[in-house]
Amino acid sequence: MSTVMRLKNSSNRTELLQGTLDMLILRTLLFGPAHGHQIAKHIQRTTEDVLQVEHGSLYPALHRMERKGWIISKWEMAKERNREFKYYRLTPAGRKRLAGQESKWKQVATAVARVMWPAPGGQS
Amino acid sequence: MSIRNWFSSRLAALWERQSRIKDLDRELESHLELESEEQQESGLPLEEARYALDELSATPRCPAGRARNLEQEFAGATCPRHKVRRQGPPQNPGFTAVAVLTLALGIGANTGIFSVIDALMLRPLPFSAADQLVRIYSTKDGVPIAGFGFAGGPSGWTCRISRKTAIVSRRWSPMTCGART
Repeated sequence: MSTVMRLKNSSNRTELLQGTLDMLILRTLLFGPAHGHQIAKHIQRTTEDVLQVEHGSLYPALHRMERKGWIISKWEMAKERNREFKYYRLTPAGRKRLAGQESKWKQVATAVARVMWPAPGGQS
Repeated sequence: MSIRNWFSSRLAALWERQSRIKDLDRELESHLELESEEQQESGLPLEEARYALDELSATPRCPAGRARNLEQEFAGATCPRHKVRRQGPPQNPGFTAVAVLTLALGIGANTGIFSVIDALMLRPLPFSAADQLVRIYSTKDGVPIAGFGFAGGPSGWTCRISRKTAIVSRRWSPMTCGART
């Protein structure tokens, strides 16, 4: 889908798919700081194993988002373990981004739904 | 941009990249540890958990290691073997310049210092019994007179004979001093 479809006002073909992962990560971080593994697990559990985020796409995404200033990171000691993890936190820019992505996603989901399940007696 | 600025910015970039890779490696390490702990907890035998972990951390597209693989993915590039191999010094003029300059300076400085030490301290003078060389010169009322004189020179002249102990230190130890005649 990402390679053949393009969103209105979007230039990058992979933006839709990549943006979705970013959005999921940002949404997860809305609950509070979390390290990479927690983020992946949260997404996996919440979607009942439908979405499994591989570490090979999670960490590049996290680092890319950090570079863009949407999240910040810090090595901190975990509360329940005697071990350090790199915790990611949402920045104000990240919140803004999340809001934008969310509305865009809603728009796409609604558009797809309209095609897939046309309302009985709809215009199409 | 001056060469110094360029040089320091290249060094800083190199350093930053190294620390980023280290950071990412550490992060992945803890991720994989958690993953294997979790799999053991879920009842997977240790051997199988290890195998699953190897599968997970294996990077089929990029043999140079996990962090490097992610670095590649940052750039959005796939990572076939020849690309990794081509990342060596010839592909990175900054790195090559730093390495060659360091080597050149190191070898040059060493050679220079050794040449000086060899000439001054190690090599004997090209004479037989070089340590017994003497220098003879004349003074009048304590003021040196140009040219060489001999011990027991004309009356009223002081003659000083010094033994040259070593060229290096440029120390002259007065040995004998001809008395005023």
